[in-house]
Amino acid sequence: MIQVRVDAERCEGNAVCLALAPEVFELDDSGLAYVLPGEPATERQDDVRRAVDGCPREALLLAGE
Amino acid sequence: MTVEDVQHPLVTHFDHHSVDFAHTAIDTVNTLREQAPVAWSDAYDGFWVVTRHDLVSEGFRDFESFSSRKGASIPALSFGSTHIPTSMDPPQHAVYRRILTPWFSQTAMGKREPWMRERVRELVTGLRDRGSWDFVPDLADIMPGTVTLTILGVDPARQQEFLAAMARGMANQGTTDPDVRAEMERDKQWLVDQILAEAADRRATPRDDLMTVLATEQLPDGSKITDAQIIDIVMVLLLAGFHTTSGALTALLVHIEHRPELRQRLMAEPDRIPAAIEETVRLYAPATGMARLVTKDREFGGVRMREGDMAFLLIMAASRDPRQFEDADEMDLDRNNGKSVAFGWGVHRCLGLHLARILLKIQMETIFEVVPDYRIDLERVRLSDTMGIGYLHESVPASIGGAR
Ligand code: HEM
Ligand code: SF4
Repeated sequence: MIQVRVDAERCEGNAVCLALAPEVFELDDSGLAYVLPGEPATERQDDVRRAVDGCPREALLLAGE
Repeated sequence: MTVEDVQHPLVTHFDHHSVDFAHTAIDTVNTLREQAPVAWSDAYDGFWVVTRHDLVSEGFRDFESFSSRKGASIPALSFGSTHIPTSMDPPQHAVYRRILTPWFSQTAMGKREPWMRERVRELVTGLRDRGSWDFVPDLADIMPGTVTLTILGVDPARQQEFLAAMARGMANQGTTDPDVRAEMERDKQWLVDQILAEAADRRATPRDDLMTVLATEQLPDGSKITDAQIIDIVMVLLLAGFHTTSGALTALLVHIEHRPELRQRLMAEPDRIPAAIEETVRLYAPATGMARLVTKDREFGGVRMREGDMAFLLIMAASRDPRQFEDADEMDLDRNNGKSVAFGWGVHRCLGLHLARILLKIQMETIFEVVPDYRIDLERVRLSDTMGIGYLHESVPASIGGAR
């Protein structure tokens, strides 16, 4: 099981993570990314890793490999 | 806003590919933005010009209202056909973007940094030995294509030919001369043949490169990427990074040549170079703007858009919007550029931005180190006559210590 977290201090809301893992991320009303409920990260590990790697701000943090 | 504003937009002849625009680009976009956040241009088949920062970001973000399926250029580009991933909307866009991202990620670029440094050092040392050179063809135009071709896995010995064919195609985008057109067609066919040969080669003998992935990857629906799509992806990768990154390097070099104190500061504090690069791409948009198709009737920025209209999100105007950036026309190394749209925004945000950033940093550091006393001949610097794709220089002649 893996978990992914958005660092709100770093996130600039550019939505690249939504492009790479649409089932996992969404933007909130203030335009920052958040992780959708229901442990989506575990089912979509490959997408999540790509999003973590693709985030231009290094705002996505992986935990629990 | 009143009904009248919505029904009577400002009508202009705004044409980002015209020579007039090239000669007055920055003034034109700054003026237009203050006249109307969204204006109508009657150039080409007519399109909306979106200039204000908040609206440009919103247009990039809202891919449902502003679709990429008619491509990101006005008028549509001649190279390639379907433009993957540029001309795709979610969810299809993600299928291809997922394949490409790992090859251009920050981690992937970090691994290639030592190699890039070596190549740049070779080139800049060559310039030093020559004593005088032109930054555009002799450095800026070489590296972005070299890195992308290397990621694809194209043999270094053949990269020069690839780059030359691409350069001819780009230089003559707007031409109507039949001879030049015919030559462009030949270049294009040559490139297509090469790309297909590379793909066939990788199917036979897979290697650790992006071309192998494109040639063999299975898509989620079980199909393979077709030959036509491979051609398309490779063309987009080469075109998208070529003039953009080149334009950013020369814009920064010319900017600091006009401001010796800033040049001194960057040489003394090279850790400020990345901030200077972010400011350069904000001030001198290497990508002028991006087109979108309006998918439903809607009001936007004070005008009534119709389904089927084209909209041009004018990055160059948004990036100097004083509502978003204080003293927007000034380079400020301490500025927070978190909301800069220079690399786009939303799902299509530049795939190559890590490549561009790292390469630009390496090039500036290497120039400062290997030819610290270079001088640019500002009187002979020439801006491009076409700024429709980006803020570009045609020629940036330089020499050591100012001797010619
Ligand atoms: C300073 C340099 C660069 C700038 C300013 C820049 C700018 C942009 C912009 C504004 C977009 C958004 C397009 C849209 O929304 O339709 C974009 C997309 C893209 N860029 Fe860059 N770019 C640069 C360098 C590069 C490099 C070096 C590459 C190398 C491969 C590259 C590859 C791409 C690709 C493939 C896309 C399409 C992404 C997608 O549709 O998902 N760019 N770029
Ligand atoms: S890609 Fe990174 S910066 Fe962009 S929205 Fe997602 S978490 Fe935020």
